[in-house]
Amino acid sequence: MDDKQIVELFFSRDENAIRESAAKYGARLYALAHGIVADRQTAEECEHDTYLEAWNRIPPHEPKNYLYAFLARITRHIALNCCRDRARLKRSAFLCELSREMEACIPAPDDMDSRIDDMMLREILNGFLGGLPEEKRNLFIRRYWYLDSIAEIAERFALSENKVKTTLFRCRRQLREHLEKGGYKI
Amino acid sequence: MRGNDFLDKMELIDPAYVEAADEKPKRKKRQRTTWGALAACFAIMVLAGTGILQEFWAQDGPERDPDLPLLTISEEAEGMGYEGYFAYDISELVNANPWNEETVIDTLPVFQNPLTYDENDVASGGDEGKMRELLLDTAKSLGLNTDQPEVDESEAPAKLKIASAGLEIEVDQALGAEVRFRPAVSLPENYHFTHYASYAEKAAAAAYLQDRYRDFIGFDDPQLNLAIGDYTIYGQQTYDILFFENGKDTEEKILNYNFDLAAFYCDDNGELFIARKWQADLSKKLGDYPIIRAEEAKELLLNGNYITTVPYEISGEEQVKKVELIYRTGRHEACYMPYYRFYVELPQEARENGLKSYGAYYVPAVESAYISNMPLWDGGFNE
Repeated sequence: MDDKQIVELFFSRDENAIRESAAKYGARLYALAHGIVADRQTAEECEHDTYLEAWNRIPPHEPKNYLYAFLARITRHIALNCCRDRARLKRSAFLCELSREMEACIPAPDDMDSRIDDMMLREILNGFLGGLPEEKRNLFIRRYWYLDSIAEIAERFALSENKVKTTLFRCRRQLREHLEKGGYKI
Repeated sequence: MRGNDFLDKMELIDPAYVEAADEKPKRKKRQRTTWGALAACFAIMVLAGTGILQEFWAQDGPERDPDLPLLTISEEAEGMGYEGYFAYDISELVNANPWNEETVIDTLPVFQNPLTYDENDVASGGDEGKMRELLLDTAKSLGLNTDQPEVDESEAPAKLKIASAGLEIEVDQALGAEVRFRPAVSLPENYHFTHYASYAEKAAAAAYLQDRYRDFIGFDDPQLNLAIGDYTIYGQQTYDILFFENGKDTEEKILNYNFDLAAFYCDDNGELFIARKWQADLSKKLGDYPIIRAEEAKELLLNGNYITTVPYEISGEEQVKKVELIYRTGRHEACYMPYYRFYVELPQEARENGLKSYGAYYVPAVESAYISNMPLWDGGFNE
């Protein structure tokens, strides 16, 4: 079933919407969640909670052209919160590492005045990503959207771990400069 | 906004990019073991089998004490980014390292790190008895009643904790103790214990802290280490307050400087917020290894035999501005061994306000005959 039909099922409040979403994207959503929470049972919970959340959000959202990204964004959000809320998952070191990396992109991490709204940030962020070569962009997104480990990214792109780290380091620096230029003043 | 929030904001990335990044890359997977490498391995096996390799090694290879096990360099960097320090001049980067270029030392001990970490970064191999002892000693040194201690074991064996009014103490398997003061403790008005206090102000605050927390520091002859005087990118100079135990000879001083520490940290309001102690478990000594001189290490550095997190190659000797001998003590080091740390000026990172960046490059200080995987720069960063 194509995405448009699945979204229409959501709109008509037909529970087959969940069944079809799971059949088409369940494995990818589970893999995404598992990559973040590193726990089978929690990953399954994240996947199931994703369908419930999608049920509540469609309508008003109508992600006919980007259903997977829409569901995956929900999964990512739920999985990240699980890592933060459940100490038993022992993911605090993983989150700290990613947060530290992200902090390097922010021109003034503590400065309230430099906060920008989501609309502006979306524009700056996607403008930055649009200017990157495809492989660099994908590498950045695998790390900070899918939250893959360096080893996983190196394997996926057939690069050395050092190469991945260096590329990400340069991307973060470029993003920081891009944010500064985009009005995110120091 | 902090890094954690910014990580959440990544969900603003365009769905089309997210979808594209989930597609299988077009490139073929790297063939990690090439036929050439296999052939070389085979050749080595044949040579080894016939004794030719041993003969060659005995003739041309460096002599090696058979009682000392070969050491393995841990190249895994902790976290991201690179180790670099901003300063207007290298002379501004200071510390109380007891080693200097005049120091003559022939051997230094190497210790096995008793801890190993699984894929989730969970440690094993810790000594819960030593952790408990450190926890109670730390609590007692800060005036807590430890007759009937209520040790929080909810995160054991990773951590043991104890809390009382105004204090939270946590000890990890690496035998690091962290004390959080709640609320933070104010120093008397005439002290300036702030992030960007000057060297003299920090030294005065350190003297006060040394006196007030003498039992917590616990050293017979504490030595102050105000380090390192590097700058933020906004031009603010910072020094950390650390103490280490003095030693009876150079070797003991070097070991204490690297492995037996106490440190004090302020919060944004200039109040004492966190204090830490670290007494590394050095019970698994591998042996006393011969140490090369700093000049030899510099040759290795220029030959590319170093490890670093810096993404730039060294283009010439003139970039090398300073050297010191230290032990690398990161959690993931397989063994604690001495290295020469070279501070290399990075012209690519120079700031418009005149700040220079000095990157840290490490060369093993142990003779290369004892290193099983002598690092060699492969140009990987500039591919």
